[in-house]
Parts: sequence; structure tokens; C-alpha cells
Amino acid sequence: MQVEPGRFYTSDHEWVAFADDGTATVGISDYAQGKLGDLVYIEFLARSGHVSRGDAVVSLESVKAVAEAYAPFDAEVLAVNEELPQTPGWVNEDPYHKGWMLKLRPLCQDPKAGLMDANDYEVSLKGL
Amino acid sequence: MSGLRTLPLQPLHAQLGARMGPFAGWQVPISYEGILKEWEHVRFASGLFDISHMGRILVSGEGALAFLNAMLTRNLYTLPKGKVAYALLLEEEGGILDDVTVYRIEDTLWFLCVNAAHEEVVFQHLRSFVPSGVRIERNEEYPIQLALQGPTAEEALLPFCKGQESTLRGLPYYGWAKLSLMGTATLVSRTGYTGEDGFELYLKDQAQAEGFVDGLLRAKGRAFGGLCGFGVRDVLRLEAGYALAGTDFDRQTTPLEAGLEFAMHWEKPYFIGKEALIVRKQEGLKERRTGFIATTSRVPREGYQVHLESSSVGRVTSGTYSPFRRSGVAMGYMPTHLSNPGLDVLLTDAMRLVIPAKTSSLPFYPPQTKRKKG
Repeated sequence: MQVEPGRFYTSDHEWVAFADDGTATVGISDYAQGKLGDLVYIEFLARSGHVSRGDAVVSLESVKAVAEAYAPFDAEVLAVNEELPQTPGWVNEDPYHKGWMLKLRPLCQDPKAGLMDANDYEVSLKGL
Repeated sequence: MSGLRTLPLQPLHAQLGARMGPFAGWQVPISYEGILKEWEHVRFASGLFDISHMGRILVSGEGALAFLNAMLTRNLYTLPKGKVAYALLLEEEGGILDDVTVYRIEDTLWFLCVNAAHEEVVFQHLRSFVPSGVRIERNEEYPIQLALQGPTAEEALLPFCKGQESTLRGLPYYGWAKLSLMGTATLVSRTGYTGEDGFELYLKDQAQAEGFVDGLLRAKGRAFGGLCGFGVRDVLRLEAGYALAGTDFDRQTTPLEAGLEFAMHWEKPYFIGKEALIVRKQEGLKERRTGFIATTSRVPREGYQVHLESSSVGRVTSGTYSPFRRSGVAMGYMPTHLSNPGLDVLLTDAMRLVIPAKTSSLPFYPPQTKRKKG
């Protein structure tokens, strides 16, 4: 199970990549996709507008399980990966790149507060 | 993992990196390579399942045939030696205790394969009716049960049955034979739970089974795709329209509602449950087992309600994503007058999920089982 360096992670197994312009891309980690198994359905619960930290923003369904991805901080939704509902398997194949889900503009002072860096996330997975 | 029984091949599953999970009181492999990959193995090549959790019961003695014929819905007098039958075990009131496959080994020796979750119930039920001169015991000769399923299952199995190729090739659908598999006597039947041609193999010991799995894995890539878990088993059986005992029917259901009348031989003078079912048939059925096809790839699951307009009219007993249909599929129960295909319904969970679907006939995938004359 792979942890992509340079990303930040939530305890719910979302990853966040911050760009130089302050926007953030969000997806689910390799661990999360492995736990869910083959994804067959993805629906964006928020496609624009403001979301609060902890809001369910993506509904995910695998053959055997249902899950949601949550907003990692208060943010404005800038874009969603429009191709993903047609190709949910990308999340399994390539969770950190092709499987990205949302682009967000943080609406809080310190969006990294409460997130883990890659090292801490890797350590947290060892305890599971 | 406490309280769960472990399969004899558990160390092998662990070594092969299977994701494990509980099923019917057993710790079983759920998946090895992912459910969709394993689905491809079975639909396009062949895949191997460890189904050693199944219950295996022997019924023997001079009165065994008459006894079992009264207990089961099929006419066993017309079942030739060398054949297997799918049959139901009913209560007096007509409710289904279990569905079983029954093997005529000899006139005085019968082998029953029963659902793991119902093994004890079936065993005790049979015992409560057993006459003198009939013995009922758990089979201990074959502790390991594997299923090799898929269009190339025969080709994958042939190299392990040297000198008996013609017997294997000639084995009809629902036929069985004792074959020497890698030198050890093995009970092999052309049966399965996937909607594909394939075999169920009853093996005597761990070393033989491990050697067989190892040999298959060495040949992986052509006729043999790989090992498959219980996750894909559920997908395959749902696509093939096979009801799961305890989930899609139980003691509250009769074979009439469950759509299992094909397993009933009404011409038999007697079997347990027959009288109750005749009455029920005359009264008319309130509901029927029905298929549902979601209009999205969203997955309807066990316990979902079926809504027609604003009222709840039926229930989902099991559902999955169907790679064949590329959509969610399910089976459940609908009032008889609403059970015809093509009706627009909504499948809903207790929270907020609403899945648009249409009622459908079963199966969702036409079974490719080998229908040879036998």
C-alpha cells in the first residue's frame, strides 16, 4: 500500500495536494481504495459552492461497500473530476493522480491544521 | 476473528494474500485480486473457489432411498446412479429449511452437500425423522471442497486427471464420478454456483489440495485465471439468478414464492411439505421472487425497500454490482401482481439513498452450464 510523498492526509484516508496558488486537490488514499475494493459508482455530492469541513462531498460505492469522502476543511469547490463517474476504476488503479476527485479553494486560515503529512499518515496506517 | 471456524487451506489463503472475512461462521477468503478481476477469471477462463465450509452429510442403509425421498422435494427413485440432484428440504408447513445437492453414490449410500449455515439444522431435522436401519453422519472422508468454475474449467482440470480424460470430458451436467486427481481418489461433480460450466471437487487431504492449487497456479494465464473469493461468488450467483439460502429464502418462504418449483416433483405421492404447498397453491401466492435492474451502477443491497410511487411494496433480499449488466442488480420479493418485468420502481435504504430500477426476470446472466445428456 502506497503513501504518496508530499501530500497531506486526513484520518478518514483522504489525501490533499496543495498547489502553489493555494488551491488544493483531494482524493482518497491507496489504503482507502484497497479497503473498498473495486469501485463501481462515484457521485459528487457537491459540485460547486461552499462546503464545511466534514461534509460528505463524494459518494463512493464498490461491489461490496458504500463509503463517502469528506471535505478536509472549509472550502469552495472549484471543480470535480468529471471523468470519474464513467471510470470509477481509476480510483483503484491510480488513486493519487487519475483518481483525483475535487479541486478546492480553502476558506480557512490554516487548511493543513488537523492534517497529517505523508510520514505521519504512514505511521498511522501501521496501527490499523 | 474469535469464534470463526478456519478452513483446512487457511495457511495457503494467507500465503496467497487473500483478504479474509466472515461467512456463515467461517473465516473465508473474500478476495485475492479484486472482485472484477476474479469475475473475469470465471466468465472468460476459470477460477478456483475454496468452499470447504459447505456441510457434507452421508445417509446410508437399506432404507436410505425411501427415507430421503420422503424428506426431499425431488423424486430420487428416478435419479440414476452417477447423478446429482438439486433438491429442497421443507418443513411440514412448506417453509424451506435448506437447498441441497444430493448425490446417489449407491442405492444404499447418499451424499448431501448442504449450506454451511444450515448444516446443524439439516442434520438435526434429518435425525428427527430417521427410521431404524438408516444412518446419518457427517462426512469426514472429504474435508476439502473446491469449485473450479468457468468455460475453460474442463481444460484446466484435465492435466490433473491423467488417464481419465474421457471420463471427465464425458461427465454430464449434474453428473458425478470418482476420479484419481493427482493419484488420490476424489469425488468430482459437474455442478456449481456461478452460471458457468465447472466442477465441484471433494478432496481427501490437505497435501493433495495444496498440490492441486499449486499446479493450477503454475498454469495460470491460459485455461486457469486464478483463485476467487466469496465476494465474486456472490456476484456470479446473483447474475445467474441463484437464490442464496437464508438470505433470499428461509423458513418463512415456500418454494412457490421463491421461484424454486423446478426442484419440486409433484408426481411423488409424498414429501414433507407437499400437502401444505398444494393448499398454498390453491389459495394463490401473495408474493414472488423478482429481479431488479438498477438504471445506474449504484448497488441495491439487502434490506432495501421497493417503492412504487409513494408506498413500500416489496423488499430486496440481496444485491450487487453486475459486471455483465454494467449496473446494479438485485433480487427480492414483490406482490404477485407487481412481479412482472419492466415496472419502474425505486429501491431505497433507510437513510436517503434512492436507486431507480426496473423489475426484471431472472437470471441476469444466461447460465452457460454444460447441458449434456447423461
